[in-house]
Parts: sequence; C-alpha cells; structure tokens
Amino acid sequence: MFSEKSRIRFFIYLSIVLGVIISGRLFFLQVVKGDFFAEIAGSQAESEYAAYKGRGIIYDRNGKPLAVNKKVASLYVFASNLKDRRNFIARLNKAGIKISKTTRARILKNEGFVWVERNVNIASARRIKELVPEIEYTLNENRFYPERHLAASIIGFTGVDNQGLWGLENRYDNVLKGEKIKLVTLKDNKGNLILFEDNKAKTHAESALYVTIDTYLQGTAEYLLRKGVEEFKADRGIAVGIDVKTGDIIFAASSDNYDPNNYSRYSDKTWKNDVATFLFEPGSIYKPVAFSYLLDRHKLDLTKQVNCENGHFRLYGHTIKDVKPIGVVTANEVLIKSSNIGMIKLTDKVDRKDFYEYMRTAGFGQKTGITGISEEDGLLRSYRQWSGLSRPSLSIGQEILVTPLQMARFYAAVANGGFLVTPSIVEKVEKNGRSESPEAQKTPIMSEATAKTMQALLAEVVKEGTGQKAKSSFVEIAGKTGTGQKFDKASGSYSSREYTASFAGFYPAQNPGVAMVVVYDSPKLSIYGGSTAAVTFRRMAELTSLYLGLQRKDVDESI
Amino acid sequence: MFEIKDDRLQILILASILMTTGLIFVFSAGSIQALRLDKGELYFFNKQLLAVFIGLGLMYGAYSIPLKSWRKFVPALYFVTLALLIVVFFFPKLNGSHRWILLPGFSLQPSELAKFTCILYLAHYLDKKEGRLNDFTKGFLPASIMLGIIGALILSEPDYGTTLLIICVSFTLFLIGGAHMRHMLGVIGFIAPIITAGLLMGYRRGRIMSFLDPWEDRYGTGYQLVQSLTAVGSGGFFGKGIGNSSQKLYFLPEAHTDFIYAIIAEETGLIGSLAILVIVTAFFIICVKVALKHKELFYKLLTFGIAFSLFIQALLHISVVTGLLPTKGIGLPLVSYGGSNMMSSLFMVGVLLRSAEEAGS
Repeated sequence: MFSEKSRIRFFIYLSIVLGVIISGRLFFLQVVKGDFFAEIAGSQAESEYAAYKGRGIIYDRNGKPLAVNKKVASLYVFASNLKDRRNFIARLNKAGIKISKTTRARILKNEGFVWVERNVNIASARRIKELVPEIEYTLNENRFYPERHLAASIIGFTGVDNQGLWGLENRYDNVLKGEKIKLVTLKDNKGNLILFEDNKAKTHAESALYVTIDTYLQGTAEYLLRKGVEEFKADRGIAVGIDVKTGDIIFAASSDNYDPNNYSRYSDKTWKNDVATFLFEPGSIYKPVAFSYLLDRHKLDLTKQVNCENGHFRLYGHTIKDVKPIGVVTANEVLIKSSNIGMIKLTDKVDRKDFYEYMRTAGFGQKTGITGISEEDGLLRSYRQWSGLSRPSLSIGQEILVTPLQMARFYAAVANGGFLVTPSIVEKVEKNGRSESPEAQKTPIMSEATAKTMQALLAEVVKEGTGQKAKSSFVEIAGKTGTGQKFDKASGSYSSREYTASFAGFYPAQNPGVAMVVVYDSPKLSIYGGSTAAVTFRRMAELTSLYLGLQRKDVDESI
Repeated sequence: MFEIKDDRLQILILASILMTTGLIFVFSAGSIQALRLDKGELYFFNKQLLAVFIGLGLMYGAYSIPLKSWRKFVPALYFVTLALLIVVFFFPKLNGSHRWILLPGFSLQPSELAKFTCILYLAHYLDKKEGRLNDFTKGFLPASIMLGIIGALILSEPDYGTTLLIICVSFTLFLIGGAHMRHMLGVIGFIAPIITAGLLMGYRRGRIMSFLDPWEDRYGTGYQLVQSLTAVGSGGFFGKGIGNSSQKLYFLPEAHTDFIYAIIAEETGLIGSLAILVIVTAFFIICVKVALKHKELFYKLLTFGIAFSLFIQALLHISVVTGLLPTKGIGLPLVSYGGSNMMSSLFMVGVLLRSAEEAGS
C-alpha cells in the first residue's frame, strides 16, 4: 500500500481541491448571484420590522400637549415554531385576544412572523404572555391623545406603526415621525426567532408641532356646540374662531367628533374637519361681502333711499321675500334689517365681472391656503356662467357655497381694517433645534374706511337689527345672522326643508380681536340663524373675551 | 534568528493574520449582539482580547515543551479530560446543553481539550502499535473504545459538531497510521446509523432538510441559511466595507461566532473571503509539510492531527456559511468569538510551532 508520507501528502492535494470547490461556491454566491442577494439584503433592511420611536409631540398654543407617545407592547408569534396552531388560537381567545381573520389565516398557514395584536398596554401583554407562553412581545411606542376628542379632526391620528394617517399627524408625518428603529430578529437557543430593538440603528430626531389652537377655548366651543345641537335639535354644529390680525385659528370645533385613541370605532365621516370642509350656502352672513363691495368700489351713499317693496318683489318670474317686510329705507338699514329685496336693488347696476372679481379677491370659490389641514374650494361660479338670477342671488348669499373658515376669514378682514389674512393652524414646527412657521399672506381687499364703516354697521345689526339674540352685556359683538337653503347634491337642487343657520361676526366691536363663525346644520327648532347660531355665538364670545382678557364693554378705559 | 523560510515564522504570521481578522470582526459583528444582551458594545471584543492574551501564554507554554515529553502525559491527560467531561454534567445547562464548566467570571468547554487529547492519544497509540494494527482486538479496538468513551460523553452533552470533528480527525489518523480499511469500515458501519438517527431527530432534521432547499421555509428552518447566503452574496466582489454589514445588524443570528465568515464575506467581498480561505489552506499545507519533515510517526501524526483538526473546523465553518453543508454551529478557529476555542487553538498553534522547530533542527 501507500507509505504514510504519500498518505499525508494526499491531504495537501485534498485541501487544495476543497479550497477550489469553496472558491467556486464563493464566486457563484458573491459575483454571479451578487446582485440577487444584494437586493434581498436591501429589501430586508426595510422590512416590516421597522418602526418609529420618539414621534414629535403636538402642543397647543400654550404648550399643552395634545398628542404624546406612550410605551406599549405588540404581541407576535413565529407561527412556524408552533406545535399546534389551532390550539394556540383557542388559547389566545381564552386569554381574551380576538384576532382578525387575516391574522388567523396567517397563523394557520405556514407563515413565520405574525403580529398577533398591536399596541396593547404592557401589563396586559405580560399577562397574556403568562397565559400563552408562545407569544412574544416587543415594546414600542404608540400615540396617545390625552385630550381625547378635543380638536381630533384637526390633530388626526396615527396607525399601528405610529405612521401619520390623518389630519396634522398625516400632513406633518415627515417632520413628526421621529427616529427610525429596527427590530432585529435573532434565533434563541431553541431556534425560535425573537425580535428586539436595534440600538445601533437609532437616529435622533426631536421634533414638535405647535398648533394655534387654545385647548380651553377649543373644549369650550365643542361643549357649547354639543349643547346647542341638543337645544336646537340640529344635525351638527360648527364653530371657528380666528385671530383677526394674524389669522391664527384659536378654535376649530365641531359637534361631530371622534376619539383618535380609538378612531376605527367611529365612522370616517366624523374624522373630517368641518371647519374647512363643510360646504354650505351662507345666506345673509354673505350680505356684508356684497355690501362692502358697494361701499368700496361704488362709493355707496348710506343715506340713499331704497324701496324694499314691503317684502314682496318679482324678479325674472321669481318672488323675492323678506322675513321682516319693510318699505322705503336708507341703504344702511338694508343691511341692518337684512332685506333681501334691498340688497338685490342696491346691486342691480353693478358690473358682473367686477362684482365677481371682488368676491374672488375676498377669498371665495378658492382655498384659503391654510397649511396642515385639508380644505374645500367652495363654489363660486365664474361670471361668464351666470344667469340673470345669479347676481341678485349672490348679493344675498345664494348660488354660492362657502366653508366656515372662508367666512370667518372675510369677517376677520373687515375687523382688521381690510386685510385678507391666510389662516393658520400650525404655529410653528420645531425639528433638530430649528423652528419654522408657515408663511402667512396679507392682502388688502378693501379700504380702511370701508372696513370701519362695515364694523359700525355690523355692530348696529346686533344692537338693533336682526342679530339681537347675539347682544351681550359683557362684550360688544358685531355680526350678521344667516339662513341658507341646503343644496342637496343627490338631487342637484335646493332642499325646501333643510337649512343651515349661521352667525358670523367679531368682537369686541370697537377693538376687534377674534372673528368667529357659528353654523348649525339643519336645526329643527328654528331655521333662523338669529335664534340658534347667534345664541351660541354670544355664549362663546363672552367666554372667549373673559378668557383672553379682551376689552370688556363695562370697563371705561379713560379712568 | 527567524527567516521568512522558517516554518515557525510562516505559521506565526498566518495565525496572527487570522487572529487579528477575528478581533476586527468580533468587534464589528459582536457589538450588536452585545447590545442585545444589554452589555456594552465592547463586551465580546474585550472578552475575546482577554482570551487571546491567555491563549498567547498557553501558546508560548506549549512551544517551550519538547514534543516527546507529551508522551509521558498521555494517560494523565486522558483521565483529566475524561473527568472534566463528566464534571460538565454537574453544571447547569446553557443554551440547552451541558457544554460549559461555569466558573466565576469565565467558563470552560472541556470538549476543546478533548480535541487535543484525542489527537495526542491516537498519535501516541498508533506510534506504539506501529505495524500491529492489523490485529483488530489488540490493535484497532482498544483505541476505538478509548476514543469512543470520550466521543460518547461529548455526544451526550450534546455537542454533535465536536463529536463529528473528533470522529473525522481520528479516522484520518487511523488511516494514515496504517489501520486496516476493513476494520474501519466495520466501525463506520456501527456508528453511522447512530449518528444518522441523531441527525434526523428534532431540530437537526429540520436543519438538514432546510439545507437542501432553504428558500422553502425561509422564515422558519431555512432562516439562518438564507440569511447567511444573503450576507455572503450581498458582499459582492469588493464587499460593503468593514463595519457596514447589514446582515449582522438585523438578520443573521450568531454573527460573531458561527457565522463570522459570512460577515467577513459581506464586508470584504470575494477578495476578503478568498483571502481567508487561502490563508486557512496555506496554514494547513505548511503544517502538513512540517509533519512530513519528521522521521518518527508520533511527531508526524501529532502535527498532522492538530493541523487537520484546525483545518477541518475552518472548512466546516466556511461550508456551513456558504450552504455547502447543513447548518451546524461551529466556529472558525482563531477568528470566531469563543474563549475556550481561542485558547485551545492557540495552544495547538504552540504545539505546531514546537513541532516546526524540532523538525527543522
């Protein structure tokens, strides 16, 4: 046989052969299949195991937190490690976990990693782990909204992976989303995959979002609206208050609300922010738009005599009516008494194009440009498409759809001396020590003189006109009531029974601070804004003035 | 003093390269595992560094002992090993097996010592019985029983990897020492069914089946292999750069021990993975040449046995990582994290250095 030497030498050749085989394998894996594996490695790194932590906090204008982070646990299982899957599911049910059909199917199929339940509190995760030992959990963070319903439609909410899904949470997701962490999977000694947080993959991102909303006033408005909805038997109530000079939205409330901590239990209709997306026909609260146009562009003489026809007036085969019939009055009384016939007669001779352009400049039929929340354009048809009835209709706030925010913005312009301001809901965004605020534009739409005249007239409306229900002994309110027929999208015509009742104005009338609009959708108690929206407006205005320390009526500043 | 032609220097240089590579990648791949255990980033690195220092001491110690004196220690060493392999069962299980003697501050794996003991024993025995191995009961059987006892103890820890390694090295030594092929086939016929049954039980069966097609259950039994292949493959030609592995961070378990070669391949590409393979093979060939220089069978077998044991371990590690063999936790000698293995490997390198010195003179 062979000598020892040759036997030993044989292993030199063997080692070279084995080395060549392995080299070939390496070449195959790293060069031939290199791109294939590089792709797998890349896609894995971005797999479902990624999560975000340290999401930016959302504060109100006073630094009160509205959206914070809470440590929670997410339960998962590696289904391929389970001995008896059906038994496992049965024990899960016993432990009080109801799994979805998809989860059930995933567990029963031979899937590896399956989330069983996301974002439960840590104590109950521990309890479940004791009852069902195959369950594993990882700690993560999830959003918690300490004020629950408050401003929920503005703030929005996040999904199971703490990703912004709705409202500001969604719009500012890039800023807020915080640090990305990766959950690492490893096998333990029994061959079970386990997840843990990869400390190395942390990147620091500290951010915060400050909204212009004041939690107290927002809560008050929501409370008053819910009360009002009961009292006036309305479908819903909406109120928005903005700082007349800066355009900051101080409250944006709706009686229709949801709890973002459990958003999926509510209809998605309740998620919408009504303030910028609810479309309604403004009716008389729109008259000041037409009236300011007459003052500013046609130098309307307030003492001009107008025959209001005792409440009945035929126009293009239609009968125009006034709620309170009047005869011949001066122009200013047309507004104060809210005469439809008077408004139509005053705008009789105006140029369509000019009138249309004024209304566009005043912000109607287009977005306000607010950053952070979704909004509707409203509807203001171009003068080219107007019929004979269009101009008269528009002068009394018909044939137009507006949002509460558009209306409030116009009243703010009247109140601040004639400037249309871009409303804002986001005060500032802080990220990595830098602070940024959305840009606000200020566009003059009427002369200061016109604005002053309008302020005085609207104060008169409350003092002795149709807005007397808004009269307050605490704060002098200027504003206008309105009733609009609801436009039924389905039938494409105005509803004869459904109305929106509204009140728009500002306060204190002599030195305006806040412009506000209150709208009730389909109030059954009274269709008139004077008896419903005006009441809520007054209550809110009184509380706002007290809270903000706005100049009160009974204090003589000369002392 | 030393010349580059000197075998000792060549062995020392190659071992140092492997050791340094090991420290770099234990740092690179081990830091994340350390963080997982809530230890500092340097936890594994520091422990490895300590093992390297102790190991270098052992290496120097082994280098200073003349090879022939080892023959006097054979019975003593055998019984010490046996005792330790029994003692290990009185320590609690760690990761599901009785592999470690847990002492305050550190732990030891007697199976690491067993590798050397078996090689030494067999080299001694085969040299003693030279020419009489054809007698089954007086030649082949006694040694098989002695080794079998050690093997059985390690198998029941359980530690399949080391058992297989010892069987593999022993058979090779028998083969070189002139054992009768018929006898050896007989023993293979006896233990093969036991090993096979062991392999096909429990999780090992899953591992073996998944080796054939890891993609079939890539999140279950095929997970490790898929992740390992992904690490190796995604390294490409030039690698992702040292410290840039994404696999070690997220997906590859035991990246600093049983899969360190995958991380080396991922971070240094084909260039680095081939370099390690070449170094490992060159180390083996140099040592085999040293073995061939010796006149006496004992020296030849001792030197070859040690070199072969280190080489086979390395080859097993690389083959598992590249999917050529079923997943089996086995470290890359001198590179992977593991104190006992590092110390025993360095100790054996010390013996090889001594052997090179004695062969050269």
